[in-house]
Amino acid sequence: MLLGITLLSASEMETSYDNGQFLFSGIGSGSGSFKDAGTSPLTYRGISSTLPFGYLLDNENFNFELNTTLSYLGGSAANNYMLQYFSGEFYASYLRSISLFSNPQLKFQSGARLSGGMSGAYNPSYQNATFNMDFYASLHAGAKMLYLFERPEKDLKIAFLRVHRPYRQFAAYFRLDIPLLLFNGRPTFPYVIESDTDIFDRHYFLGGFHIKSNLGIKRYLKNGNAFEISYIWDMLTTGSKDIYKLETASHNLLLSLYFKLD
Amino acid sequence: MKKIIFTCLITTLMIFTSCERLIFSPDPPSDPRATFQYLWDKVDQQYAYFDVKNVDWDEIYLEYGAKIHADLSDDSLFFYLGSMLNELKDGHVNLFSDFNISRYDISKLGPKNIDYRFIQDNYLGTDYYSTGPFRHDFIANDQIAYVRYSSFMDLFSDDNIRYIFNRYENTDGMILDMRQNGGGYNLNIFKLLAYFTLPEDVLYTTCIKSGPAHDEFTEVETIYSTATDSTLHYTKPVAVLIDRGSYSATSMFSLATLQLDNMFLVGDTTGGGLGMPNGGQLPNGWTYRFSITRTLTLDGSNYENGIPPDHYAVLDSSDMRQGYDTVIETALDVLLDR
Repeated sequence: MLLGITLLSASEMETSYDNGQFLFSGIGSGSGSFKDAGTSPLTYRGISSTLPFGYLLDNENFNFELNTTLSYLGGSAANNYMLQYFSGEFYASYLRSISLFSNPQLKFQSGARLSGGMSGAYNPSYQNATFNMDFYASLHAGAKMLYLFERPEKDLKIAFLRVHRPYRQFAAYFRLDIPLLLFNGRPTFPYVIESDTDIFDRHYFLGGFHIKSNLGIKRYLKNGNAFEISYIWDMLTTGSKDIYKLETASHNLLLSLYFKLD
Repeated sequence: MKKIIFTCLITTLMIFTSCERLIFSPDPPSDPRATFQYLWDKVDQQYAYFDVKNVDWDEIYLEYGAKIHADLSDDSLFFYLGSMLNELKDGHVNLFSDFNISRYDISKLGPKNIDYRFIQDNYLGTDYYSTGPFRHDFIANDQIAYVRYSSFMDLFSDDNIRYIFNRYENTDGMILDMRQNGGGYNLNIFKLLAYFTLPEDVLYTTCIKSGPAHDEFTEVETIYSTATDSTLHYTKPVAVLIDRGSYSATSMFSLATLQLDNMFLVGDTTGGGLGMPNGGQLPNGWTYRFSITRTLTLDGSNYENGIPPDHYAVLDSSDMRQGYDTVIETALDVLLDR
């Protein structure tokens, strides 16, 4: 199927306007859910927001990204108890272009993403369990499909109006990171931080499932900068090996700006 | 071509997005029976004091489980669950709902052993000092400092303590009145004890539930004074006044005095509450808390049901008619060796 799409999409266009080094930053908002079975069997649902920033290097052969993302979820379950969930994640990602399936207009890339993060949940109705922290590190296999396309310059006549539609360059993409390994640091059995002085005194284990997908469209400007609208789905569950399962998911619509460095 | 690619992308996205619902566990039912079962299980696995409470939790399950049925009103369910928790006779155990809070009032185990108005009228007068949360003045012909600390919720500073220590440096001892002090921040226990202890003085030991069996705990950890060489240090005798309303952080403070040579307890047995209560939520949205840690003496003694005083004293009406607070007078007898 991939080969078919590649052949169908092959065209005379030889473009590389997505290549270069970029600094990027974005802001997004959407909805999310949170459940930590250690403190409640209920799923908290509410609004989420995300703030990524980082560095991107794109060329014909590979895509390399360093990304730091700060996220927030404010939600409620029964009785209107409010839960606030903060997380910070850093990841490094490397995707290599698969030349067999790629052409100048359509790229298929695969590789890996290594990420580490910490999160904290705050719910004052849980007494001494009001604040809890989690740590995780995960290794993902990543795949990305990128489609470059252009919109030609055109003069339109709509009713009595003449509209000039300038030439524009776009990249649409879908990226999926599926988990290979997830390492978690969660609260211990009775769900307290055992030592006031050592926040890393946790219950550590391998297991769970962390998946992230990203569907976006990026518009490139004449100066090489770009802006992007994307939809990000991020889901994490610590799985059955955990004493208490943690399940979080967020769906965010993200607006990002890319500043070309070279 | 674009349409094909976008259709593929959207379809793929929808497939993966729907995985979330397949992978995440569904919320449990919130009916009375499920709520009862959840709470009973949590207490069974995590409560730290079954051995000293003399409660057969399995019997409690049979007794209260028989009363829980699907069409119970919220009010009735709350009553039964609250009553079940009160079988533990623990002031750190509560059930919280929008309309009520269940509680076991530990101070009712004994008389309220303080009348602060009486102390003002007969010992402090109207010109006593208020320094931070402390009310204090000279008593017994200026031989003893009387310091009242009514809640460990109240924060204090080094300057507060320095002022008090300097003012009473020529007295023969101090009365630290913690009757009806229902507890507060653990931080304040260590902070206050630091002024009465030396660096590395042992205060008590602690352990935390580590598994679902009633006797599964972590290794006992010894807790030391946080005093440093530069901390102000009071070396004269200190009488700590306690009663049944001296609970939680006050009990922990009192427990630490058992290890200290210059401090002794006067009054009635404390209320206990030596465990750290942890909270959570039930399937129907109510929240709860109960103790999941134990605080013990260095030799492993468990005083969860109350720390007995070194010198027992309760308010006596005939003493009060003569203008004497029996507990303060007992402390003065010991401090002044009368």
